[in-house]
Amino acid sequence: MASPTPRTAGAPLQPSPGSTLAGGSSLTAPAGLLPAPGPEPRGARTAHFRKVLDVAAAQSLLTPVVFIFVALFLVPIGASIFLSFTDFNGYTTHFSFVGLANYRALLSSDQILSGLYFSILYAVATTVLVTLIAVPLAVVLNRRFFGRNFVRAALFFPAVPSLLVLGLVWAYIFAPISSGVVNSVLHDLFGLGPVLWLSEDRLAQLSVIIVGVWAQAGWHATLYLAYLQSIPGDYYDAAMIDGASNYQCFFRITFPLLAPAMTVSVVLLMTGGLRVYELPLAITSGNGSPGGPGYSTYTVTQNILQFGVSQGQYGQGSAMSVLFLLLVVAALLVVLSLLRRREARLR
Amino acid sequence: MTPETTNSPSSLSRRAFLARAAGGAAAAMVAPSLLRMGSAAASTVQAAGSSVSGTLTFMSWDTPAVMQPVIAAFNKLYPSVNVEISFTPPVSEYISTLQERLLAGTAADIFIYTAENKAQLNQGNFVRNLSDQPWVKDMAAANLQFMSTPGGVWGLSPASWAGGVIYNTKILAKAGYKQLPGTWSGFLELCSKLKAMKITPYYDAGTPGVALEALIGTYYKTTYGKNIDPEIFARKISFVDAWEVPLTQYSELYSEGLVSQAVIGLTGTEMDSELATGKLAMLGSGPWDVASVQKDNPNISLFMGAVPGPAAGQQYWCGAPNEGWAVNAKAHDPAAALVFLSFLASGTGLKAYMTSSGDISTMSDYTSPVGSALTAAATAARQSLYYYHGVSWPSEYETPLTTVLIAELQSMFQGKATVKQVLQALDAKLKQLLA
Repeated sequence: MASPTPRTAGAPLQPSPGSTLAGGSSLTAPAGLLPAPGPEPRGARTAHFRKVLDVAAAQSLLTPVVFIFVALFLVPIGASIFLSFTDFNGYTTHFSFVGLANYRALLSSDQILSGLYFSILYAVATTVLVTLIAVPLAVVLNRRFFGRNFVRAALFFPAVPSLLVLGLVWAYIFAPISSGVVNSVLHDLFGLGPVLWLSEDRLAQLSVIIVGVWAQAGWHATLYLAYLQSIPGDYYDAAMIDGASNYQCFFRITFPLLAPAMTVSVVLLMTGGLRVYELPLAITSGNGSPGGPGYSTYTVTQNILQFGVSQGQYGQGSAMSVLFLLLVVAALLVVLSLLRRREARLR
Repeated sequence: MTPETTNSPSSLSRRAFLARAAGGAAAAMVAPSLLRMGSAAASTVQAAGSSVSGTLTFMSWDTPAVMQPVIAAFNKLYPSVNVEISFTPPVSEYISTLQERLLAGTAADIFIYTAENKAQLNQGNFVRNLSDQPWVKDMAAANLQFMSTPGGVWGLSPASWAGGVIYNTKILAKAGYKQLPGTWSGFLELCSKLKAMKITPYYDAGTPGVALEALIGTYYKTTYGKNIDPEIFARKISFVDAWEVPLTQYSELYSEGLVSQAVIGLTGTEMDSELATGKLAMLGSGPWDVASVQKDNPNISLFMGAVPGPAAGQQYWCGAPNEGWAVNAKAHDPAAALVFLSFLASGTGLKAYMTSSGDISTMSDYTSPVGSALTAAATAARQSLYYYHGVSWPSEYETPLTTVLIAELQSMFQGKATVKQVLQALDAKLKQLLA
């Protein structure tokens, strides 16, 4: 016999308006007026038992992930928060609680504020520049041309080696003397004297940002390329028939449909940029300074390691970690919120 | 020219020198009677050799290439002692690894006691008092002072280093110099001449550089007659008062345009390369760079001289006692640990270690052979004619203050900070640390 409300496969069974429960009461009847339900039929109990078993099995599969999350994320974060209120020095378990002293000390240090400044500068600059380069690059890489696969691989390559290794190579390339690679080229082509790439505050910051962009642009172009390839060609065909120019195709079709890719890319760039450590360390740690010249390329993560490990001030290092975590979370929430709104607007 | 300017057979490259010395060490093991082992410590070591047994754990920051010949020499005398050695590179990685192991109760029986961790090791009672050991009297005064606190002696420091100016003597000869400059103003004049010859005059390998450290040492000696760092940290005198004169002298290198601020972004390897290729005439560094530059260019003529002072005869060096080996207060096998240290302090142990490390022994039992380029530096190391803030400052304040010092000096090199501002920043940081 046909059901009065045919059900699609997989859809949950919903009572139709006016239908009654097993006890005969209306769905809209006040809860207090419902009579006590009678004993469940045997089949219903078995189904309920199976459902509980299914849920338990699914939950048990999550146990390792939960364990890892607790052990590797929650416990360290909890320990950092705890230690940030102490004077723990890393050598003994005897320590005292110092209240907010570690947090107060952070806000009065030039070294820490400089680290915060460059971390934010690096994160914002690399995010903007990589996005500006990666999107057009992905569009080019999506076209057919001779040697396309080789070019794609070559552009992706800088993302493979560690940033530390890349940094050491680039420190040699940017060496601020006449025998430095870039300076040699500038001298041979334009007769310019040696540029103080790594020996002047702004130039050192610029050098680190240039390498950061170079190292990441190819990887993010590949990310955009993956999203580009999922855009149906019919959209472009239809637009062309309607007389749309390439410019219009890019800004009316490609760019809006890349919005989800941009969200992923920007979030990765921002969080990675704020956490940057090894690149400035490798490029500018030359003559005795871990983030030189002065504090110009010092980062928050370098501060955390220096206070926490090198100086044995685990309390201050932990306080910095906690504040930095909050900063990254806040930045992430703001960026995500803006990008999600943008996605919705372009949809 | 006063120093030897040619690469004589005695100033071989570091590798050749070590290989030859290692051969000598092997021969010496066959004929122990020829060794200089006259000290009580050495005699005790040999006498006790056969009766000691056990397993000793040792956390080294020297490389396996340095320590394996030493362990082999030890095991020839003490075949029943098994040495389990682990290697962790210096300095920060070693300090943090040791710290974690001490906290976990898994630290080795013997580990490094040095400027960066001595205060924490003493505060936590992690090291055994070694003042009753016979080799203590054989340590040089500066090394003994470095290893000591009022409560005891906590390590064996058998060597020192002294760094100065590494001169490319052929370039100096081209500039018309047959003798090294005897005063700081003479040194600046030499830099001017070299610059006029389109040769980079001088780089300091590291910040703060060898020249600044030596000028401070000279100033302390000539003005106060002693190291006044303890007074600075007791807030009896400020950095501004104690350092303004030597830092002003040092800053002339930059304010007069004799040294480029490019030095801020150069690595040690790049500086060595510039010196080896003749583009750089003088490098302020330690003995290790002499060996590496000679390896890059075996035909180069180098000599390491002291940093000239304000007046003739006031030259000084940058240097310090080497790190020491300490015994864990909770060592699993303290007897074996003490025997191992006695061996290291003996003629046999010193020869094995100094040969493979290339360090300059300051123990009374052994004199390290050095190449002709380093004769003056070796004498200075043995006589403790040096100053290095990293060892002189209390270890709990050394790292944060040095970070400020480096950053401020680099601002000064760029012309963005004055001498006074650099020193005021140091005073402010010290005040904050002591609060």
